[in-house]
Amino acid sequence: MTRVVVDRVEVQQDQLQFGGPIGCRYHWLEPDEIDSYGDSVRRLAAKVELAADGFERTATLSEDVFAGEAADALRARAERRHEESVAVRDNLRGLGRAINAYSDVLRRHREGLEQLRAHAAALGLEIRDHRIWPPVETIAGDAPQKEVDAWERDWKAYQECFDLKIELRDARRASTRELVKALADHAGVHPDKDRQTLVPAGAHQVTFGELRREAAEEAMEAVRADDLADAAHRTVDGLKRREQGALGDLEEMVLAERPPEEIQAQATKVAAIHRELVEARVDAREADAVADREQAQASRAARDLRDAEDGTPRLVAEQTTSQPPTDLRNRLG
Amino acid sequence: MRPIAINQRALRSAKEELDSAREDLRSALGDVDHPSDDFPWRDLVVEGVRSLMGDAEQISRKCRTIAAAIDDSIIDFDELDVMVGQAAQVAAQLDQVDPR
Repeated sequence: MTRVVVDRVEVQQDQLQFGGPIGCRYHWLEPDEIDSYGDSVRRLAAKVELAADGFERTATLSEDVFAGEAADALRARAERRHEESVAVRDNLRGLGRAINAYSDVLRRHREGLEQLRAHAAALGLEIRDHRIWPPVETIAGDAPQKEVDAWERDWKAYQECFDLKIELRDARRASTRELVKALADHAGVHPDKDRQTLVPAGAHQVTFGELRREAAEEAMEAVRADDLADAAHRTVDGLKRREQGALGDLEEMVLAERPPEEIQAQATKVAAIHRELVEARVDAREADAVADREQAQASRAARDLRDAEDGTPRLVAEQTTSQPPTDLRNRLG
Repeated sequence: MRPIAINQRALRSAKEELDSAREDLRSALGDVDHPSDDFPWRDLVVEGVRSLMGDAEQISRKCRTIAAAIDDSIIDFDELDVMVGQAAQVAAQLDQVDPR
């Protein structure tokens, strides 16, 4: 079975082969630092929650505090912002927790490597440059039985260490899936979108169905965002017309010497429409920005699909199981 | 249309809460230090965190927008008093115009 991966460290980890030296040193970022990174993401989530509370407070301002059309519009807008910020808070919190959990995965991996090193030393294998080295590949055919037995024992010890290393790697990878899932669920990033680490591969390894589905979904979202932006602009145009009409009426009322209370009511109406117009303009600008972003994503998805169909995909297939050279295994009998 | 009732103190308090949340949020955004040393899936993790930080920045901007909208509401009502006063003055002046 093949699956799509792109991380260069994981690609490097695939190079582990039976008969080669086995690395037994943890050489990545210290798990404690990754843990702190997760904590900083969760602290950010806590601050977004403060903003969510602020929006909620505005959204629930009572009629005694603020009433009228403008107040209703402000409350509705604050409620939307509250919902958005709650979603961002949840995503930050979820990803922060996943990073914290991932630091535990790497901590266990580091401990496993330390144990592997100690085990190899106890088995009498050579450890140099933070690597466990394999025994000599061949032994003379006329070597004494004692030497042959020792040679076989060393190879079995090496095999044990090799299997342990593969187990450690696979256990780490299995636990990493939670992180990758959290990244997709909370941040919307996927391994196959990380352009920097992708390398060319044959077209037969590309999941066309997935790319087509993604391109179609992105295109649909872009169209939807465009429609929303159009609707926002139509609202702005409508409010502009209402404001002009209300201002015209106000002018006529003043010229017609209408009673002051009627003029006051009309002035209030003009002010309310104006506030709505200001908000609608802000919403329209935001809708434009979202539409631009969605269009860029749709273009990227379409480009990915076109590249794949042209046979120049940027995806690489990972061999999930290691295949030790048969000649060395055969020696073990 | 319903009558407008306004409690400026409560509105200002809501605005201050948003301003304060925005400050805290900006400070927390500055505190996120992306790791430079390598580890498996670092690039993807950093990309994901950056993406969510972008969302958090948007929230910070929206705090400012809503706070400004509240501020405008408070100021608008003060201006409205002035506008109504001016309208009444115009009406009074029109009363004094001698049509002859």
